[in-house]
Amino acid sequence: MSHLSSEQISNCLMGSATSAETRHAGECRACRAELERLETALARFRSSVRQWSNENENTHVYTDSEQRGVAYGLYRGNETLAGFGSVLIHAGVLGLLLALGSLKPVRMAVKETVSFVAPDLRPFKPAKPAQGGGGGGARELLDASKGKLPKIAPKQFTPPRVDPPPDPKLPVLPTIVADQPLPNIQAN
Amino acid sequence: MAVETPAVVDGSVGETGGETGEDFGSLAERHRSRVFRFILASVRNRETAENLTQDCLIRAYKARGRFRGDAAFGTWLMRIAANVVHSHEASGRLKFWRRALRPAGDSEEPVDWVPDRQMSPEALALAREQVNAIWRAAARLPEKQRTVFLLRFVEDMELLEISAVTGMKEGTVKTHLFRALKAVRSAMEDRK
Repeated sequence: MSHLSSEQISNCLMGSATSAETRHAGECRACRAELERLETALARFRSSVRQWSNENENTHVYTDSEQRGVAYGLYRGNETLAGFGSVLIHAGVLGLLLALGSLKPVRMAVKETVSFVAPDLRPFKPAKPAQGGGGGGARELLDASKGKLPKIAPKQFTPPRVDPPPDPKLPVLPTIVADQPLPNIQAN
Repeated sequence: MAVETPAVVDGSVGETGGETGEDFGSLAERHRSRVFRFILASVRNRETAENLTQDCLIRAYKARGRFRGDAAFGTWLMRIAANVVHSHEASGRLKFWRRALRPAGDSEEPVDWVPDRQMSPEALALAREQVNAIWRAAARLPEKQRTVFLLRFVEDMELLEISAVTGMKEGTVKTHLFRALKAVRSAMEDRK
């Protein structure tokens, strides 16, 4: 048997060599040397990984205060970039919201559904009561009381008022123009 | 971040081989290092590895009732770990940002490894270079190839056990491992 091929050496390393390959590897000096070289390299690799793992395996229990001071994951040693990224993302989201808000369909939709200012309630307010509806021109809400009828005169100089001038220059008795009452015939 | 493993377990976990009678807490504690090592080698970031290890143990605790004892508890736990790593790798969410925002030194490597204090400086440098070449080649492998490569050459698992962990057929495991070895050997040759 000639020297082991590269595939056969790999088989030996994998632990799936045939008995003939194993026998040859034990007998042939060159193949054994090549196998030993590779096995040594892989053993060193195994040793290095194990040593590295043992050094890195953490058995320390962090206290709360320690955990608060530790930055994990993407932020570890990358705080400046993380901060810049955060500002960028926030600015982007804000810009996106403003851009969306400026679109006409969005503005229309908002206008239909939301009032940003106090609505005009004037059309819905009750009308004020009409002024001067009673009281003989005295702007009283109540009608004037029915008292004695003013005197009847053939010619009227002063009409009756509910608010006669308190201090007239020339007092004139208010009168009304009406038919004279009929005489009481039966009294006679 | 330390992982607190739940201490309560139902009887089903205690049925596993030589682990009879152990509660979930002690079983998980015993296998935790292995899980962490596999995840760390897969994701190459300590904090992520710690989080995923914790996630793995929590998943195992929640699913402990479904453990039938067909495989060893360690194999079952490693299968969960492989799934956790797969979910982490496959999550498209934030993948772009994770890559874009990843600091230059975020992907860690075992650079301070000292194989043997008796080695000469030249031999030490050579050994480190060799290990780094394998490490970088492994990091570039596709996820499935990397998983079987790490399970075989870091965790020392047999092909059948890898098959149980990954859920792939033995032939498929062999194929992935073969391709991974080819890539790693090629990287080692390029280094020369």
